[in-house]
Amino acid sequence: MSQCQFTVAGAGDGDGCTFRSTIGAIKLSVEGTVGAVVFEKAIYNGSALANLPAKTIAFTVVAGKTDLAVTYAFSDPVGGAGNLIEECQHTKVCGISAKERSAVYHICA
Amino acid sequence: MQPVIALFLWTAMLAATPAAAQLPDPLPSDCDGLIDLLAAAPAPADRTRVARQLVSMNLHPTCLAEGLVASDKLNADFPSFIRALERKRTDKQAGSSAGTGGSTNLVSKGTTAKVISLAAEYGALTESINKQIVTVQGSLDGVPAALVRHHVFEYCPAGGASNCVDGGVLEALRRVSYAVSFDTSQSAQTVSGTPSASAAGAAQPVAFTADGHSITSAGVRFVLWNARDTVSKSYDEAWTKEIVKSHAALEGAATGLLNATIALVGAVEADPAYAPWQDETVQRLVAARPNRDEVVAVWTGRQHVLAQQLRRTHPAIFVKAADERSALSVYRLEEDAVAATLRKPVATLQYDYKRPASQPSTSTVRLIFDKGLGTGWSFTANGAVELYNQPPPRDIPGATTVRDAQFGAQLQKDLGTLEILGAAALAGTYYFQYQNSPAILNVTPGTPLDGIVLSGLPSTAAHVFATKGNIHIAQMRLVLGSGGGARFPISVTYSTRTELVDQPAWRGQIGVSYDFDSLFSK
Repeated sequence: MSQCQFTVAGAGDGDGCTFRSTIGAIKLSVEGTVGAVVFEKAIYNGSALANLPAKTIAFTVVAGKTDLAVTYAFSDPVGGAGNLIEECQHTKVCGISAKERSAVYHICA
Repeated sequence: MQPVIALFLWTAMLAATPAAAQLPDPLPSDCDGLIDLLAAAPAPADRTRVARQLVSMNLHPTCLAEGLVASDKLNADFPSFIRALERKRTDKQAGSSAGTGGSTNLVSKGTTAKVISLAAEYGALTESINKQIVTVQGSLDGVPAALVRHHVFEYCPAGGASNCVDGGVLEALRRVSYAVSFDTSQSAQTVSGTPSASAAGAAQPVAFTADGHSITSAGVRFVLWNARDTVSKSYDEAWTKEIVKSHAALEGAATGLLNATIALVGAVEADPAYAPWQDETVQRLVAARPNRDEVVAVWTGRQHVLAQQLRRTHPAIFVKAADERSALSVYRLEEDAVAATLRKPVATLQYDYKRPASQPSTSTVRLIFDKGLGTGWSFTANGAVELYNQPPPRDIPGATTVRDAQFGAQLQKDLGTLEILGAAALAGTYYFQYQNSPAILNVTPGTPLDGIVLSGLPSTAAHVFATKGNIHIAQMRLVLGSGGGARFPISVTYSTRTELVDQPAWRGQIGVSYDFDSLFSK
């Protein structure tokens, strides 16, 4: 089992980071708690991630504050919900909802 | 006594203090979920954590956009896309129904094109004369969906809003489809002339009358029962399998939404007023009583404050917010459209009004049953009754209003995408027609029937009829798809007889159809 990289940034840190991370390759997945969910489109640090739509994305975190922008698709278009998960130890890092089909996560490494 | 008192006080304290609700881990990302948590969380540390998440607008850009648009009273409208998926389907019927003269379809299917499809087919199944029939088909949801995709109306899947296309209404309209068939054969239009006055020398004045049957049939279908199962695990698996395929329209909509989100969030976060607004909003939310109404009031007020601050520095922010909502609307429409392809019709009722050239008009009521059997196999069955619209002439023996009863069953196998032929499907069909009343032809002395030679008829004959007999037909049908919306059905049939000729016959039918759904998606 690989070591996890993401930690949820503490409230009130004031730097606007969503996640703190170490530099290196990371794999994220989505898991539906109400219905199913997939990554429909994702852009990390200005580059579109390949092999989407899928339940998993992989990219390499680089130094500094970078953005991961994501669009989700939900099988339950109204009540769909789930979690964003770091694959390492199946760690839930953020909740996701059909009410918010897209998000921009700020990653600080 | 002291231990007893202490135990009593401890027990009383436990009973008086409500158990603190534990925050979920991770926190939800949507504004509603976070507001619910704020309203229920009494501990200041928990409230601060939830409030921080709530003011992180990058996690809920839709909430941000809605707040800005509501504040600005800006009305959004909506961009365009559709279905690349539609091009790959081989289960849609694009041609005319059996019995219209030029058709390759021995059985009808429940699925038709969403916007419009056009099919030209040549051949005959139960009829004795080959005809060329062009059929236009579509379903009623095609038009409002196109209006959403072309910025005219907003799409609201859950309904409840005004000035938008309700998801439930769209679903209801999707159940109704129509078809109009045109007979392009020469016989569809005849002009008869009779002397209108006495001849003047070699010249004869004539009154011409036209008998036009270019529209040979019109029909409407209503899906009675859809295979709709959106809650089971098997549906989730089928949905996931479908959604991860390449859907050009959905991908385009997702790109549009992502770009709009990045532009909106980037502009808001770059504003110097944003971070102070976050800090003050957190303080006010934490200070609010744990009561949903109060939390909502504070949050709504703070959203308005953010909008006012942004208006001063970024007047265009409201356009960006409207763009995000607009892009989201199209994205949700495309997402729903993919899900709708999983809801195959199971039972469909069809009504056809037919007025073929030189024949009495009829009405057919047909019940269609479709069932996917897995791994590319599907089964379709039809039962129908055809009635003469006018009681047939009494001097035709055995003629009644009930013309015939029909039954058809088809087993189809999708062959996938073949290297040379493209998307293909092979079907085997059996069709039975119980001929309750003889097939009748209307004749006018001196006016020939296309493809039929009648000799020795008395000048007073107005109708001719054939001997009755049940019809059995077996068919093999191959549908080839180009992948661009065009399909080419080719079939070979063996029939024990036709409606007019009491002899077995081998025949071939061919057609071409174009599904304009893919064209309207651009």
